Amino acid sequence: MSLTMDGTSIPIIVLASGLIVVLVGLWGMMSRRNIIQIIIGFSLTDTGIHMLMVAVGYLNGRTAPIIDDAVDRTQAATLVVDPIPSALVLTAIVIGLGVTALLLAYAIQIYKKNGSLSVDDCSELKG
Amino acid sequence: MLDPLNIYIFSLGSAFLLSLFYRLHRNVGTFVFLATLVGVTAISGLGFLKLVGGGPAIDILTAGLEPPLSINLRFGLQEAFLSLAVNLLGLLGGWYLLARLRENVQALILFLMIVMGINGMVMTRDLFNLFVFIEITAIATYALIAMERDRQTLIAGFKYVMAGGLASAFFLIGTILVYHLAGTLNIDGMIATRTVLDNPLGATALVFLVAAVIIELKPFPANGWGLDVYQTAPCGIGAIISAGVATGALAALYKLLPLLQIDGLSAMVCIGVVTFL
Repeated sequence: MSLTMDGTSIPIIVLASGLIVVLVGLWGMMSRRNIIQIIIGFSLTDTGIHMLMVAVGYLNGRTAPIIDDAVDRTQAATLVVDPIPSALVLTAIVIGLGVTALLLAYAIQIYKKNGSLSVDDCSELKG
Repeated sequence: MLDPLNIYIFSLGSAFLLSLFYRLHRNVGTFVFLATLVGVTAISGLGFLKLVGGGPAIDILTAGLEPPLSINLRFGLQEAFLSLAVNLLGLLGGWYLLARLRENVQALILFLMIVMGINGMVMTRDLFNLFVFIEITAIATYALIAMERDRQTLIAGFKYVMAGGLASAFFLIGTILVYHLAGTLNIDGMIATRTVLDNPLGATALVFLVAAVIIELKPFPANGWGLDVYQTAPCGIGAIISAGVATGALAALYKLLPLLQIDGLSAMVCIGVVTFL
C-alpha cells in the first residue's frame, strides 16, 4: 500500500493538494490585474487539474502498467494501474502547454500595442 | 474514397504539406487549400446524400478494434448534416477570405485545422477525443485571431483564450470523474451504463462537462465573452468562429444530453433566461 508514515494514503494527499493548486490558480486568474500573473494563475489551475487526474486514476498497491517479468501476464489486470488516466494527463499537459504559449504570445503583442501589461489599460476586457 | 475518415486525412495532409506547396508558388498553395475544402465538402455532401437515400450509418473504428478499446467516430444522418453544413461554411468562408488568408501560409493552415476540428467534434463518440478536437479547434481559433495585430482584436482574443482555457479545465475534471465512475470514455458505453452516474459525484461530473461545452457554445449570457471577438475580428473569421465553432459545440452538447436526467435541459434553459435578465 502506498501510505505515508502516519497512514495517510498518497492519492488522497495528491487529490487534496491538486484541489488546493486549482483553487489558488482560479483565485490568481480572477484577482490579479497583471496579464502575466493571470497566465501564471491559468498555468497553476492546469497543473492542479493534472494532479487531480493522476490521483483519481491511481489505484493503491498497484504497479506501473508495463507487462514484463515482474508482472504475471495472466493477472496483469489486477496488478497494474489503469494506464488511461496517465495517457489523458500526458495529452492534457501538451495541450495546456500549447495554450499557455499562445497566451504568452498574446501578452507580448498586447504589451507591444498597449505599453502595459495591466488589464486596467485594456478597457475592452471588462465586458 | 468516400470514407468520412478521408475528411481528416485530406485536411491534415494538406495542412502539413501546405507550407511546401506555398513555398513552391503562392498560387499552388492557394489551389491546394481550396481543393481540400472542396474535397471535404464533397465527401460529407455525398455521404449525406447516401444516408438520406437510406444508407446505413458509417461507424469508423480506429486500429480495427471495437470500442471501448478503440476510439470510434460515427457518421450518421445528423453528423453528416452538421459536417456538410460546417464544410460548406468553411468552403464559402475560405473563398470569401482568400485574399486575406493567402497573404500568410499559417492562416491557411489554421483555417483548415478549424474546419477539421469542428468535423471531429461533430463525429467523435469518445469523450476524451472530443476534448482533443475541441482543443484543436480552440487553439487554431486563438492563433487565427492573434494573426490580426489590431489592439482591440488582441485584447478580445485574450479574453476568448482565457474563457476557452477555463472551459477546457472544466471539461478535463468532468471527463476524469465520469471515467472514474463509468470506467469508459466511450459516450455510447456511458449511456448504456447511465445509472452509475446517478450519484452526487456523477452529477458533479456532468455539471462540469456540460458547463464546459456551454462555455464553448456561448449561448448565454447573450454571447457574453465571445461578443468582443465577433466584433473586432475580420468579419469572415468572426463568422467562422461564431457559426462554425458553435455548431461543433452544439453537436457535442447534443451527444452529452442523453447522459443528463430529463430536467437537465430545462435547468439549462432556466439559467439561460436568468442570465438575460
